[in-house]
Amino acid sequence: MKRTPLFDAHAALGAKLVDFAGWEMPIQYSGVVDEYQTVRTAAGLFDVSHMGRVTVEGRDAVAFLQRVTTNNVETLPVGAAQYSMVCNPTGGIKDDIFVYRLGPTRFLLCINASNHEKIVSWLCAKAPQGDVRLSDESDELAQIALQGPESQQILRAVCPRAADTLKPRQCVETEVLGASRANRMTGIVSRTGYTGEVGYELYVPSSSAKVVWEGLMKAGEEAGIKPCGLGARDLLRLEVGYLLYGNDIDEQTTPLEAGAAFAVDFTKGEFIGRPTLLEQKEKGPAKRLVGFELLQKGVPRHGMKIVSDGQVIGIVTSGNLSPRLQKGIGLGYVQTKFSETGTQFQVDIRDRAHPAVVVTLPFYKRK
Amino acid sequence: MEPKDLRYHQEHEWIRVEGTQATLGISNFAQEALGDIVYIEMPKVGVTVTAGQEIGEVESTKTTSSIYTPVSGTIVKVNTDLKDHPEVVNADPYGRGWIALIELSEPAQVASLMTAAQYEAFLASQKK
Repeated sequence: MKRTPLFDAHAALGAKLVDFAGWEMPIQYSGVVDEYQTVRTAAGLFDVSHMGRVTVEGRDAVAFLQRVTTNNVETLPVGAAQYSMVCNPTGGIKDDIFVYRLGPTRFLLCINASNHEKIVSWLCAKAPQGDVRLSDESDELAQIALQGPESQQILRAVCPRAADTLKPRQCVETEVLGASRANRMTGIVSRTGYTGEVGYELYVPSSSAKVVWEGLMKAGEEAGIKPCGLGARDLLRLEVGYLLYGNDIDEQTTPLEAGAAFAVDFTKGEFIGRPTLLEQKEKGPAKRLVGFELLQKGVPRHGMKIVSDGQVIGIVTSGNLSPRLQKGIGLGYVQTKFSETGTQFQVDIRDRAHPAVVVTLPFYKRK
Repeated sequence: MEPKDLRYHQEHEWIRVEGTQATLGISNFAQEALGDIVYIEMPKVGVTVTAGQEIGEVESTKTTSSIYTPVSGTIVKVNTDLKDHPEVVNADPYGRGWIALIELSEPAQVASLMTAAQYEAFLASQKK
């Protein structure tokens, strides 16, 4: 199994480790619910270096990204980031990604660990003859997410410029200090995340990952920062209705079905998957992703059937018990006529039909 | 160290026999492996169960796991405190985190279950 540059730090902190997409990653440290609460009320630190990081540079970088991603890169200002998708020719989602514009012709793409090789080969195969240089920086850069209401003041200790200037979905190449001034380095800091809280992601040289991690842990000591694992991350993202590749979306689903039409710009011109997606937009997708709550105690899980009048009308793609709502919550695809907020159906949990109702996403919104 | 007065099952349940009844719960190993327990689907009082049968489910933030009974009998009581506080199973799996009380129909089955020492050896062998 692959290990991130922070593996030794996780082991020393007593993390429980699991195999995630071929990476030996922390699933939890103090406990999933405790870490979840820490992120909602203070701040949590996540190692997300297992994700893939690819830079795209050159005079034709914009044209290239316009073609291989669904969102509009041309209108993305320098110093900003956008959620986007890479689709196959029939509109199926190859990956959901974040695109950071570092310069007029320079971008960083953050891709899912589970799709890393697939997306790198796809991008290379689609790269035009012109001036586009792709570089897989996944081994060179580590990625650390600092998330929670205290994260801004914690970040200030290691990266004041980013803490004071970044608005949501902005990014900056800036000086980052590790545990001490002597560890000064250049990294990319963005105000992005996967938790629904104020938060930042730091892209720093792998060789500096440990000092940055330790610097943030130390800076956040008083605020009650805790290291957090993938278990808490999954619970946090589900409450905000963020999609998880492989669970909620894959090549058999489209951005429109998944409720991610905001990441598809039909006005920008041709892109891979556009004809099929446009047709789907005009006709309306046959199935849609919805968020639902169970009306009785129970926990929906990936793969459970959604039924109405004894007929299967959909399938659960993610589910858990929301610590915030103390209810079973889930995401799933249903036939479009069952997708309106307030629609009731049942989730088949081990052959028992649990009543559920469609709710407007997100389940949780930061105040 | 697992409590010596209990008997253990390879699916990581324990029972404590008192007279003709057995209290059932899940082991410390099981609760640790599951992580934070958020919901328990309890067996129903009055139901007749057979050794090896699934009688409920434990849901954690990470996964779902079945509860099996290692003995046959009738469910006479369930721990209703767990309805609102399933996390008690994490905190005290061999005490306040008990799950069900079973009236044994075949008390001889108990002898086939593992002792604490055997269960510890079993856990050690599973790690390899």
